[in-house]
Parts: sequence; structure tokens; C-alpha cells
Amino acid sequence: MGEDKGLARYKKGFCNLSGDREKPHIVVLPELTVSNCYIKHLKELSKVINSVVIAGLDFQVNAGNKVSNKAVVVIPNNWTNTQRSTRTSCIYFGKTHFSNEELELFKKLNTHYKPKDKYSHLPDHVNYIIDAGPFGNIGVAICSDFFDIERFVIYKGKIHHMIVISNNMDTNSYYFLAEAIARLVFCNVVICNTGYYGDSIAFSPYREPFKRIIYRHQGQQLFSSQVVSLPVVSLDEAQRNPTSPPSDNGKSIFKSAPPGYIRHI
Amino acid sequence: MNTYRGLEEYLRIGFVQSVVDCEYAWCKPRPTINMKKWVKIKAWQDIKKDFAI
Repeated sequence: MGEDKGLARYKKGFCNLSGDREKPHIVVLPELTVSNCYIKHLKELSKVINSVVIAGLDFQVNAGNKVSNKAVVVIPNNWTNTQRSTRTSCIYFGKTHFSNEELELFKKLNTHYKPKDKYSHLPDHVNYIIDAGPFGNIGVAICSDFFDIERFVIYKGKIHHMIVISNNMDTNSYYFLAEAIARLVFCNVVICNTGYYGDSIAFSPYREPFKRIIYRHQGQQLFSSQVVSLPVVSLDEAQRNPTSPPSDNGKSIFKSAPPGYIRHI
Repeated sequence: MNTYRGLEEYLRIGFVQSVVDCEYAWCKPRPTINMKKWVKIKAWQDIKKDFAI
């Protein structure tokens, strides 16, 4: 029953999104949301709505009880076209730095079950940049990897959007970090946190303070679905010409690029 | 449309902020772990192991 209930929840969210006049190009679901056996359902939903889906998967136990925390990116074959998609392809990315709570969990399991091969984390040391064609480049991270400063050194100058999926209770820290990263990496930042803790965010480095928070959904134990628009072409122009950024009525649209910012795309 | 890369004006992001349920995620609510629930999930994981990536 539990599985059906979970699946019904995603379907409800996808139904809400597909009902909108302007369907989303990318749908994001939080970390640890989708059971591994439901990836096939996720592919079907992706085909129906014709959107890329980025979703956190349940923990996966590999050989030697090495546990990985991964997310899937489902890409329908007719993405951005008006034609209906008939198949999908998937890529996976994983968490590099596990949180203390996760490591504590593995310790407790080892103490309780005393398995032959102790449970331990299996980090994924690869940083991905997704080339989304007309929508720019996207950096991705799972939860505590958002605190990995080296990741942003790599991403600086190479991405337009940073998408983070999380299962995080320290919501305020993530909000402040979203603002910091949006300024330092000079990109849009999207955080999709679990509804259990709430506070999903979409942040863009606009000059006007009221424009910067594009979306923020606070409050715990709430299910929600929402479509938001992130700037692409204007931000790209600002990234390419940091000294003469795009302006509106003589005022720069975005905040200044960080010192020493160089575009590498 | 931008002629440089043919970029779109906006990227539309759809949020589905689902309430993760520990019926199939091990770690919620953190850091408290209900071992009874864990046993149930572990058994379920074993059954589904063949489907894992």
C-alpha cells in the first residue's frame, strides 16, 4: 500500500504541472523520493508530460554493502519539441559527500545487525554539467554536496543553473547558501527540498531584491507543485559581458558578476 | 531567441515537493531510526534487489 501511496503522490504532482498552460521544461523531485523500482513509472510520467525529470532515488546497496545515494535524470526523446515522446534515456549522478546523519545511520545498522560486510557509503566523485541546449548549462548536486566549495570552483563560469535536490532540515542555511552561490557562481540556484521539511527555493541574481527570490515554499509537511521561470538568455548575456551587462531602463538587470569571473562555456 | 547559442528566454522548472515517507526512504525522520521499520524496508530492498541499478 505504501508504494502505491507514494506513486500516487508523484502522479498528483505531475498532473498539476501538466495541467498548466505552460508546461515545465524540467521537473525536479527531492532527494530520496523515488524507490528504485519506480524508475519505470518516472519514465512514463516524463514521456507523458514531455519534460526532463530530475529525481532523487532511494539508497542503493551495492556489493560489499556499499551504499550509494543517487539521482536520475530522465530525458524524453522529443524534449522541447511539440511531438509526443515515445522513449526516454536516463543518466545518473550520485552524492559525493554523505551527511553526518547518513554516516551515523550506517554505524547504527552495523551495531545492530553486525553484517559480514559493514555498511559504508559509496561516494560518486564525478561532477556533472548537463548541457540543456537552448536552456543553458546545468550543474547538479545532492543535498550536502551543496556545501562542497570545490564543486563551485569547477562550476564557476560554466553553468547557468544550479539544481540541488535535498532532504534537509537546516532550511535557513540552504537559503543563505543559495543566495551566496547565486552571487559567487553567478547562476540561478534551484533547491528542491522534501516537503517534510519544506523550503524549496528558486533564486536568481537579479539586481532588484524583490525579483531575486523567484520561488520559496516554506512550511513543513506540505506537498506542493509549482512551475517557475528562470532567466536564461539575459543571464547568459550578463555572464558573457560582465563589464557591460544587459540593462533595463539604464539599470543593470543582474547583480555584478563576481570579481575575476571568466566564462568558460 | 539569442543568435549566439539560440538560447530561450526562460527555463521553466516544475517543483514537485513531495513529502518523503520513510516507508521507502531509510533516513526519515533523521536522525531517529525506527529499527522495526528498517527491518521491513531491508526485506523489501532484498526482494527488489534485482531491480536496483
